[in-house]
Amino acid sequence: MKKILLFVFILGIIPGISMASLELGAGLNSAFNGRMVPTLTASITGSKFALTAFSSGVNSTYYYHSTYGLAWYYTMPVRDILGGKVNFGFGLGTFYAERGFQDMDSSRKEKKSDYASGPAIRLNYTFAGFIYFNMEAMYGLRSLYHNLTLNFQDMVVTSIGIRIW
Amino acid sequence: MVKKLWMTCLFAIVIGQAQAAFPSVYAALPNNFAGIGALRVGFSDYEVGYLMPSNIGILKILRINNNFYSALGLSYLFLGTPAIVGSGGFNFNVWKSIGIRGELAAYQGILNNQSGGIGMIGGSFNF
Repeated sequence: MKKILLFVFILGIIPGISMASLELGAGLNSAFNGRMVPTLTASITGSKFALTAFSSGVNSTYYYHSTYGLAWYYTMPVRDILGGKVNFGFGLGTFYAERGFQDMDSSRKEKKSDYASGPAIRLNYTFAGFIYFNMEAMYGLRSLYHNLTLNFQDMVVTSIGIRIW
Repeated sequence: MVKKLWMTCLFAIVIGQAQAAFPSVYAALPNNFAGIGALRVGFSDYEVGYLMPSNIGILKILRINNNFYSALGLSYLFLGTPAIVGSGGFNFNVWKSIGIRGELAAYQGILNNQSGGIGMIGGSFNF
């Protein structure tokens, strides 16, 4: 029975993967607001979905700061602008950030981490066939209070990249 | 005769476009209900004005269907940089020309990596 279920699962998922494309890009994100810290992004996109991830961070003698994110979107083509295609997506995203600091002459390293999840939107503008500009915004909700006041931790990731296939 | 025909066609095109693209006003509160979220004037597929907190600029509305839309645009961020703006939202007509409209919007400063996301809820009025 397990083998049959696995077989059915594989039959269901393979067409989706074979239709998907892989996107790789680089850009900026709002975890480092005001600083030009590069962000690497990767996406698997199908005709109606996009699974995206990003990673960025800085490291120095005294501190480090890393941020990672993952999001899933239901996507739909919107329209063409100047020969390029615009694709809009709405979905859910989550991010995790970790920071560490070690003061001079101190052996203790202070660490803090946080995460948030919430609704997310994605705008993808593909031009020249395989080059894209991508803007993702994640609105992380952390607690009931934050939910009620719609006071979220926003995370914007902007990138330019290429579609590998 | 030909001149009259041309004038009639031109008049029909202008009137037709004007009827298809009513000007609109959109005002909204930001997600923390502090200050003004957006104050925009729209015509056809474009909106200009105070797009979201700290941003003035222009947006091109990309309609998904009658009630949902996405938008891409350019703005001037008050932190001193041009910015790229993107958003997605809904607009439901509730009574006559008045609608409830909400939007999730984001901006990315081009020169200094100032970026942010804002949720907005408000009303729209189509003239």
